[in-house]
Amino acid sequence: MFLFCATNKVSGEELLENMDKEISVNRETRESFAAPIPALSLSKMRSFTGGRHLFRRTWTPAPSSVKSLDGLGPVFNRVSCSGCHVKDGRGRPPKDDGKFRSMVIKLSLLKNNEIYPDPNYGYQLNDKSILGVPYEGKAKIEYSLINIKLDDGKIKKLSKPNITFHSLSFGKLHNETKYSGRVAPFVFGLGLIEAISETDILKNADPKDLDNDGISGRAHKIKDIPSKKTMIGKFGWKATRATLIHHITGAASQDMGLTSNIFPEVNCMKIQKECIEQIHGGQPEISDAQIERLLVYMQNLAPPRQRNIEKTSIREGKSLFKKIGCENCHIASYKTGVHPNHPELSNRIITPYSDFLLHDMGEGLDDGVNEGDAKSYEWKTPPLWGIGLVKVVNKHTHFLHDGRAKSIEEAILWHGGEAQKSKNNYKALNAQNRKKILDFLNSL
Amino acid sequence: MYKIRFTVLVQILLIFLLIGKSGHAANNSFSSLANSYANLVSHYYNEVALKTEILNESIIKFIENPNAYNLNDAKKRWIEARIVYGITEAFRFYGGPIDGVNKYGEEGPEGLINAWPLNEAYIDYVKGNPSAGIINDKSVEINKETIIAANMSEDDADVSTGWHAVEFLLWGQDFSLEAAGTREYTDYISDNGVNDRRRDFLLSTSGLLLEHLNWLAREWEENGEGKKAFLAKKDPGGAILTGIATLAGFELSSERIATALDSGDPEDEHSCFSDQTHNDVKANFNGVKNVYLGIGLNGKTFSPSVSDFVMEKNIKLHNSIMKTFDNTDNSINNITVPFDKMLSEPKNGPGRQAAEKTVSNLLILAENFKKAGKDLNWNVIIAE
Repeated sequence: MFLFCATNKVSGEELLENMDKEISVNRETRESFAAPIPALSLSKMRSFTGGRHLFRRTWTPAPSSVKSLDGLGPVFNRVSCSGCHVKDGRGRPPKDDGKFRSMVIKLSLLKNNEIYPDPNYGYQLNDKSILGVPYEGKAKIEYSLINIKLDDGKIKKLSKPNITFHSLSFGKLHNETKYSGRVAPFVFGLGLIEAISETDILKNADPKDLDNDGISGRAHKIKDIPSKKTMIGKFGWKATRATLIHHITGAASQDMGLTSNIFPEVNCMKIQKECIEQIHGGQPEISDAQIERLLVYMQNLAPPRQRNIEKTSIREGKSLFKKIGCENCHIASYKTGVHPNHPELSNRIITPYSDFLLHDMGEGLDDGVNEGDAKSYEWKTPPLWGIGLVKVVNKHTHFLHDGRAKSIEEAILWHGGEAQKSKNNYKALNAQNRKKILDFLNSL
Repeated sequence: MYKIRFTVLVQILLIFLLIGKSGHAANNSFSSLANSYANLVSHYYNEVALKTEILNESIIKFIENPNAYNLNDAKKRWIEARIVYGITEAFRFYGGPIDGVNKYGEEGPEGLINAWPLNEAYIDYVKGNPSAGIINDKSVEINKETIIAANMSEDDADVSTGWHAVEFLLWGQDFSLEAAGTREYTDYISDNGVNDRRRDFLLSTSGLLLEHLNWLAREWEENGEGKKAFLAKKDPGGAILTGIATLAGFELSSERIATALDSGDPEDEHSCFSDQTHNDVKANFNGVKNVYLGIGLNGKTFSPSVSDFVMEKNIKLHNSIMKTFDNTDNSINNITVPFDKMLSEPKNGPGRQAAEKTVSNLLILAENFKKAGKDLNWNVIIAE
C-alpha cells in the first residue's frame, strides 16, 4: 500500500481529538449511536425523526389496517429495521436460546466464476414467515475452540463457528451452496462515509502491492442499481454497495421481504408457491417517501467522538496501534468531499478508521461466500468508530462479520492474510502494551 | 483626595466587571438560576411521584377487585399522573438524572419510563394473534426483574415497561377514531392461567414505574445526587435551554407530531391506546413554557428563571418568545381531539393544519431558545 500523504488525508496524531463537533457526538449511554448530527437543521429534523420512527416501527402482513406499514415478508428475518440494528448499533449471534435476532445467514452459489442464489433459498435464509406461508428453514451455530499462543506464552481461545441447517421447507441446500453468518452492522456515520470521495479511497489502494508491504487493498467496483453507475462499494461486509439507498432497499428486500421501486421483485424463490401466491402489500410495499425518510435518518446519525483522549494509556495505545501497522488499513481520518444531498456532511474531518478497501484476510476468515467481485477470503476493512461503545449500547462485545469474536482482542487475533504481520506484532507485545491498544480501541 | 478617587474608580471598575462578565445584574447570578431551576424540577418530580403512587394504588385495588369501576378509576389516575409527567420531559436532553449517566455509571431511567413506539404484540394478545406476547408465553416468569430485562432487549419497539406499557394494559388496542381502546376488566379476573400472568404484569410494570419516578424525585431532593451534579455545572443555563429547545424543536414537534402527520397512521400517535395524545402535547408544551418562565403548579413560581436573563439581555427576543407561546397555545387548542381522528383528516383539514402550525411554532421557539443561548453565551445543543 502507498502511504504518501494525500491532500485530503490528515495524519492520525493530529486528529486524535479532532472529529468535527458539528457532525459527531460525545456520550456514553444506550443512545450513543442514536443522535442526529448537531449540524442538522431543524427543518431536516422532521424527516430525520420520521425516519427514526419508521426504523423502529414493526411491519405487518398484508392486508392490514395500517396500509403504510403492510407487506411484511411473506418470508423474512425481522419485522423492523431496529430489530437487527438495535439502538442503531451492532447485532450479535444467537444467545443460548439459539434464536437468530440480529444475524442472518448469507447463501452463495459459485458456478464458472459467476455467483448465483441457492435455487431453493435465494441469497439469504429467511427463518420466519407470515401465517399460511412456510418459512425457509432454521440455522444453528456451534463453536469449536482454537488455542492461540501469544509470544509471552499466554494462551487465548478463539471460537470457530460451524453452521448447520434444520427444518428446511424446500429440501436441502444445493450441494455447492456456501453459507456464512452476518451480524447487523451499526448504522451511524453512513452519510459521512457516503461523502468520502472515491479519489480519497483510491489513494490508499494498491491492488498489485507495488510497494511490497504485503498489503494490497483494492476498491470493490460494483454496479449501483439505483443510479445504474459503476461505483466504489463502501457499505456491507464486502463493500457490495456504494450508495445508502441501494444498501437499505436491499436490506428491506432481503431481511424483511419488502418490495421497493429499486427492488420490485418479491423475495420468493420459484419453488416457494405459497410465498409467491400470497397477497402483497401494494406496489411497492415500501414507498419512495418512506425510503427518503429512512435515508435522511441514517445519513445524519452522528458517529461518536473518541472518549478519554486525555489519558496517557490511550494516547500510547494509539501510537502502538499505528506502530504495529493497524493503521495501514484502518486509516484514521478523512476530510469528506461533497455530499449530494446534505451539505452539512460535506468537508468534515472524520475518523472512521477504515480504508473501505477489500483485503485478503486469510484462511481463518475465509467463509466460502463470494459477493460481487469480492472473494470469500476478502473483506472490507470495517470502520472502528464506536466499537468501544457496543458494550454500552448493545450490551455485548461480539465482533467480526459473524460475531464469532467475543471481544476486541479475539477479533484482532482472527486477522490473517494481509493483516498477518500486524497480528504477529500484536502477539509479540507484552501484556501492558496489548492492554494499551485495547484501551485505545475501547475509547473509539 | 487621590485615595478617594482611586476607591471610586475601583468601585466603578468592579461594577463594570460584574455587568460585563455576567451580562446581567448580580441578583440573577448563575447559581441562583441553577438553584431555582433545581427547585422547580424537584417540585414537579415530587408531584408526578405522588400522582403515580395514587395510580399504583388504584391498580392494586383494581387487581384485588377487578370490575369496570375500578378499571375506570385506574385509567383516570393514569391520565392525571401522565399529564404531570409530560411537563417533566422539559428536564430531559442534557444528561441530567432522567437520561444521563451518573458518577456510578448508571444510566437514567428514561428508556424504562417512556419508551415508544411500543409493539403491543410483545406484551399481550392483539387482534389477529390471540397468543402473542410475554403474557401468553408461559416459559417466561413474570416479575419486575424479567420485565426490566425484557425491555427493548432485542428491538427498540419491544417495550415492556413504562407509561405506554401500563397504558396498553389498561386500555388495550384502539381500533376506533372516535374513542380509545376498550379492554374489558374481565381480562384481569383471576383464572389460574393467562389472566393471572396479565395481573402480575400490570402490577409489576406499574410498580416499576413508581419506583423509577420515586428515584427521580430523590435525585433532585436537597442533597440528592442529581441536584448536586446540576448545581456543579459550569453552564446551567445552557443545560436548561438545551432541555426545552430539544423538547420543543425535536422530540415534540418532530418525533411526536410531525412524524404522525407525515405517515398519517393512527398508530403513530403518542398515547395511541388511551387517545390522550392531545394531553401529551399540551403537557410537553407547558413543560417548555414553565421552565422558561419558572412556573410551578398552583401558582407557585421559581425565580430567577431563564426568562429573567433573556429579558435583560434581549427584550425583543423575549417578547417574541412570549408571542410564540401564545401562538402555540392557540394552535394546540385547535388540534382535533382525539389525535388519531385529526390524522385521518385531509391535508387541508382544520385540525391537521393546526397541528402543522403547532410544529412550525415549536420550531420557531427552538430557534429562539438557540438564539437566546447565543446572546447569553450559553451553549445550547439541539440533538437528542
